[in-house]
Amino acid sequence: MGWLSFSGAAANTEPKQTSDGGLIAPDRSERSQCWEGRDGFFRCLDKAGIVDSVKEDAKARAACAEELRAFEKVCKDSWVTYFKKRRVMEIQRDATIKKLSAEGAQGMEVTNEVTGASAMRGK
Amino acid sequence: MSTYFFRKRFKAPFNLLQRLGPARSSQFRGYTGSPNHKWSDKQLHEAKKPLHSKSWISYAVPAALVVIAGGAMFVHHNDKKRAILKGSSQRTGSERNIRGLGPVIGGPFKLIDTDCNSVTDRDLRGNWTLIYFGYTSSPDVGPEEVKKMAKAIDILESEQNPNIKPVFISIDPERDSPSHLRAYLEEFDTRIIGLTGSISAIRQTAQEYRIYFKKFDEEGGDYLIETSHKMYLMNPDMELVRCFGVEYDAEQLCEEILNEVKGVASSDK
Repeated sequence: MGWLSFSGAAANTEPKQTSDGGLIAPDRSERSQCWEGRDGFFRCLDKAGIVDSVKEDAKARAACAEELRAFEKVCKDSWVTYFKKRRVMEIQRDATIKKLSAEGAQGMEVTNEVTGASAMRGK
Repeated sequence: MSTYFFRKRFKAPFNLLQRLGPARSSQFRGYTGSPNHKWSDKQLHEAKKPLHSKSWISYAVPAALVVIAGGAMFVHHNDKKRAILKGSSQRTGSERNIRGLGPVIGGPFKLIDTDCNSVTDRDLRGNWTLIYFGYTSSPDVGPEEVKKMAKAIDILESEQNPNIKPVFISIDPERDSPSHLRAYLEEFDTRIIGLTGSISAIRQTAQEYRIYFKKFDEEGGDYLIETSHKMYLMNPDMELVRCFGVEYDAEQLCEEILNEVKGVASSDK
């Protein structure tokens, strides 16, 4: 019974197989559900002043327990981890840009492309 | 292909190694212990004489090792760098020099479409092609790029512009089977041609098109893929004309594509 309930809970994240051996990735509605779950969790993190919910896992779980549970329910584990890390990277990138422009740095197209390509490079 | 690269890349350090061979061979013997060893005992014996008489050799050995190690690191580093930057470098400077002068990007491939038909690079000739290398399990950038592709095709069509074929090549052949790829692409645009194939076929294609990709965060059977999410504009001869990164939106993409297509059309007249 314990095993059954475990597999029931994991069914959401367990990829289904296609008849020709492929693995079904989340479709459009599952993706948007996942993004909504992510946004809800991140809004809570913003309120709680938490940037890195991987490093500050305990704190994030305490402050945003419900949102995190909802997020984890609608997204694959790998996506949850990815979005958590990407949040940190984006916040850091924005902070760096802000800092540089406050120091009077001029934007350059090349710089823009380089940072855009490497920092924005998602998965 | 890969053996060719291997030979080409390691020729230089290997020649160096051969030159310094006698001095190094005694070290080699310990590792290989092979009877078919390149250097005979006689050579080894002859080599030992200068080793004792000329002290510079004792510097040459570590120096050679450093050179070889450095060379290997450089090759590795260069590969990593090239895989990402080669395409994007086309944007700056001489934008249209790529044909002929630049690095050769692209080449023959044999993949399968979403109906399991074989598709080669030859089948794509005759049309301008916009190729995106991605994977269907991408959490956000992948779907965004395919959406952009679909939108770009709409814009191009509404402006009555030449037929530009959108092609999605999977870099995740293990999961992206033809039927799954079809289901995925149908949600965006049925005009996008989905290609996948065997792991080796995809790997070879990615290598030819200088597409960097790497599995990461593997947990159980699940993983993500790190890649540069590049879109390539290929001319009717399947030569690379432009490379677009995620920083382009659909409108900019169309503008650039039209510039290229029209530019070629006007220079042909």
